[in-house]
Amino acid sequence: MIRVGIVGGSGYTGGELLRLLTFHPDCEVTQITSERFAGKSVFKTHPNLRGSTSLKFCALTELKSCDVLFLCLPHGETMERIEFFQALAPKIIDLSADFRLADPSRYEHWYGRAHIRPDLLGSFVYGIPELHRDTIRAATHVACAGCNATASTLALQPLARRGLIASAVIDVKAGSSEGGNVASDASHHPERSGAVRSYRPTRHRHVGEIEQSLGGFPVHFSATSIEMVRGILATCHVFLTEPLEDKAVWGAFREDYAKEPFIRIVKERSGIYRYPEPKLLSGTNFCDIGFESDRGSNRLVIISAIDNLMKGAAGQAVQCFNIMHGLDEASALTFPGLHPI
Amino acid sequence: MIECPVCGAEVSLPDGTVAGEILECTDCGTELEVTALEPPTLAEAPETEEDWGE
Repeated sequence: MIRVGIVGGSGYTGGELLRLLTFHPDCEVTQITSERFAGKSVFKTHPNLRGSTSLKFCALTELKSCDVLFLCLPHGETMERIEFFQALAPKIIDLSADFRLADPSRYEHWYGRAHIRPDLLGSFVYGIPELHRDTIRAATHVACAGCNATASTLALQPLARRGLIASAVIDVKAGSSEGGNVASDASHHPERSGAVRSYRPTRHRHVGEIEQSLGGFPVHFSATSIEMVRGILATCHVFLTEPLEDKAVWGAFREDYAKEPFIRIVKERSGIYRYPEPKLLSGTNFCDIGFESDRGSNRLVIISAIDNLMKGAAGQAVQCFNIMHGLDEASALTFPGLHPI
Repeated sequence: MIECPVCGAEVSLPDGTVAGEILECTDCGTELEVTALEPPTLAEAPETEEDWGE
């Protein structure tokens, strides 16, 4: 059994990781930390796990060595303690943004401060398996991609790598769990309920990741928080460098994604769910992708959907874990979702 | 094998397929009508249009 520790386990991504890893056939979660809840049973914070685990939260200072550490700390804290974590585990999977951007100047541009461990940026592999599977397989350090960046990058990558995108405008609708589990004035129910809140019309930090992965063309990104707990719907308005028939778009997606265990092309001519729908993906590791040509123009609309806590965080982290250890990539990730939900 | 006219995937015609039969492309899910057998020819089967409030 692979011994795993989860650091910063009281948040939503930590809870999702514990849910997945508790039922993983090849791993044992030995410790999970929370400074706020140290000494308390995990199920009191993650009530869906009542009866599934007897773990109690421990403090960071009580953390012992293990085979793999999953780090779910707030942005900025991983890099401050990275040597402490490296001394405890030979493999690290970080779910924060600290080591996603390989270029320190790009990090400073998007996060507004200098990276304190630029010497280690090259040690981390960017954790989108569909783009970097072979390097993840050999990696000891993985920086899991951001949720909006994952949905956007997977939608655009097949056409981007073929040089077919002149520019892209990405409009993301996001659920409230993207904001984490710390309450704020903005999350107070009377304020949040029913809101359609444009929370980052420009300069979203995930643009740095999207540009790093795809490069070569302008990316414009806006995010809107809507009445949904889990989920992301990314509507990508792609302006093409040349006209494309639907068959050619199908061909590009088929060539890149036909063998991917967690990517499905959703483009139906009839029925209720003609395009990707985040609601159906709650709790799953799928990224559903669809598209529609705007006939008479060079615009192609590519639509992708994920569960931000799964393919956008914990699920993708476990997918990377499986790849790093030569396990079945879908191990502990086979939940197909619920319908109706 | 014959190519799906919508997405370009290969579609196989089962033994005993007759003209006018409706098949489904396993890649894009489009319902396809077998419009001829010699040579095998597929076309998008007509669908009921919905206006979705347009």
